[in-house]
Amino acid sequence: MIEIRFHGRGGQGSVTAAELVAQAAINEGKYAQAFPSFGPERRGAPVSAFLRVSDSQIFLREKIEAPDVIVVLDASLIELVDVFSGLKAGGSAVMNCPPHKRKSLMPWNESYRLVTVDATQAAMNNIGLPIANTAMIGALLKGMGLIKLDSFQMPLQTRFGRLAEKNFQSMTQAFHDAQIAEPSGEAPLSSPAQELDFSGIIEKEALMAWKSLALGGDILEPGNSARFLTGTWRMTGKPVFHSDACTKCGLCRLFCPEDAIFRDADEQFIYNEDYCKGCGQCARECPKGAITMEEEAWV
Amino acid sequence: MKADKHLEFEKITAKALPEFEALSPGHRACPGCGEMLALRQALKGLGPNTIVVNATGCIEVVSTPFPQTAWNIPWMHVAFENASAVGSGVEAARRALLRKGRLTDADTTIVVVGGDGGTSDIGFQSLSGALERGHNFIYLCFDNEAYMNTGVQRSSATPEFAWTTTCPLGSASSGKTHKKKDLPRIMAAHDIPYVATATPAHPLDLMNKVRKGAAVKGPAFIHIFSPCPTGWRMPAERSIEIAKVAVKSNIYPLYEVIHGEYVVKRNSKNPLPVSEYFKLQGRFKHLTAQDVRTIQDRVDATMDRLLSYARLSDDTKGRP
Repeated sequence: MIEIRFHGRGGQGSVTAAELVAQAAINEGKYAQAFPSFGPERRGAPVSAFLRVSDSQIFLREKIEAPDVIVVLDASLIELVDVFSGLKAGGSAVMNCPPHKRKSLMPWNESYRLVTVDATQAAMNNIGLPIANTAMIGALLKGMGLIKLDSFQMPLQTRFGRLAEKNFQSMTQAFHDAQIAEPSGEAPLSSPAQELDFSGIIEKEALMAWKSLALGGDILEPGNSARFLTGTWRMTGKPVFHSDACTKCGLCRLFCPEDAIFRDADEQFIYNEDYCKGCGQCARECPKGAITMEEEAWV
Repeated sequence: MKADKHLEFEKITAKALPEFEALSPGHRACPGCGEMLALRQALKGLGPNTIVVNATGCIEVVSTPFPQTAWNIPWMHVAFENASAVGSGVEAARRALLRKGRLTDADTTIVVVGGDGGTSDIGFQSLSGALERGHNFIYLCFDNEAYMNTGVQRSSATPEFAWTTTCPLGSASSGKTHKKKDLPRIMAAHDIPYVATATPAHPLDLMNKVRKGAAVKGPAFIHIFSPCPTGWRMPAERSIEIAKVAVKSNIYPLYEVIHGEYVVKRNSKNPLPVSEYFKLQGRFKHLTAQDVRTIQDRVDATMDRLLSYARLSDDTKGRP
């Protein structure tokens, strides 16, 4: 049995990708299961999905804590979520990564086998949209074997109809483009992720026992959602405020759904990077064009 | 606006915006959510002396992922069906306690919040009942025109021809085949003191309408156009723009019904063609020229009707 954990953001199609692989495996006569894990979070929030593929019946039903493979649809997640958590020694990490960022993944290559591909580009070339989930399946197949590329024709047809062919082409391109780097194995096995500080960003999901709940399920602490930093959801850039053009009209603040724009000590408007989800409404609605959305660097 | 004379309330101006925030950040709404934005603005208009009763829906789910909550004011989540009934109960209980002298904060506003599904479909009868009984609360309906929380299923507030996951596009279906339910008109037919329409692209107007709703004695209903980038298939930064275009094209006319008198804001003598509204959204991308003409005719007729109501209201006062 092989256990695979998908990491992506809400809306990127990680859950669909896991389901497609399971469907293709079942069509090949294998056993498979796929299921997602997410809360009430929305588009852009980090989500994960789980996939088991086996030649015999699968009795496990729990989340995958120690995967053989991780598939990361959005490499910017590395800074936000411990995507390598529990990955078995010598396990494979299939990463969506533009070529110029590949070098930044090398520290992880000491312990893990890296399969990298520019899946977003493959999706843009073939589908015309940056939806990289099917391309990432291509890279997964290149890295792991597992299932034949052709077994995806039918599941893709069922799922996407008219768009099935384009998705298949995207998958095929990623299959050919993916590069595999075997672990260098020189360094002791430790996750570089352990050096990153995830505290304060990720609240681990925890079910509370009924005895620890307040009577009636009341929440006694007003506004405690402020502990959840939705700034990790930003995918399309951050707002940059140009104070020379700003007339301090305050419309940006009034048009922010997160209340993530405020005035600093010098009365200049700035954004709160802990909460800004990067929707870009402030930039679009600023009557003076004093706000622009700019790409953020990662890793 | 001359009808303001009928209604005493403290107006909010751009120069003196309230600092109060009823919601903390960290809520889980999609980037660019027009609904959470409108909610934030509306509650800014009301201030801290507010109790909220919330029907199930996006607002409830994204604001309160248990054991966290974004709410800084008393808030209660109840089912789709009974938000207005619970709001009635809160109002009646408080009235009794005030009468007995066990409560003294007579200025507290009770707000019932629902989406379009919770208002026009599932919670409709309890709302109608509460309005008929005349409970003193404000009902805020955040209309994003489908069941967005569960994945864009059509509601009775989904506009005609719009794509949703339950009225998909294909050989047998090309979007919703039924018209949008005209909620504000139905609410006005209950003869309540205040009904209004508003959008988050007009924040001062929205805040002041909510204030008027709080100032009247008896129920107020405010219908709030709530753009949903996810369900309407448009980029996240377009929520405000789409609301502006909806008003400028008369797709969503801004008006008030104050003690039965219609006050219609006629935004321009030359409204934008409705095609300007449709072309911004993926959910309408399949519309034919004939579909667009059908809607244009209907929008024009609706605006004419609203303006004639406004003139009729004026006539009863003996004005020209």
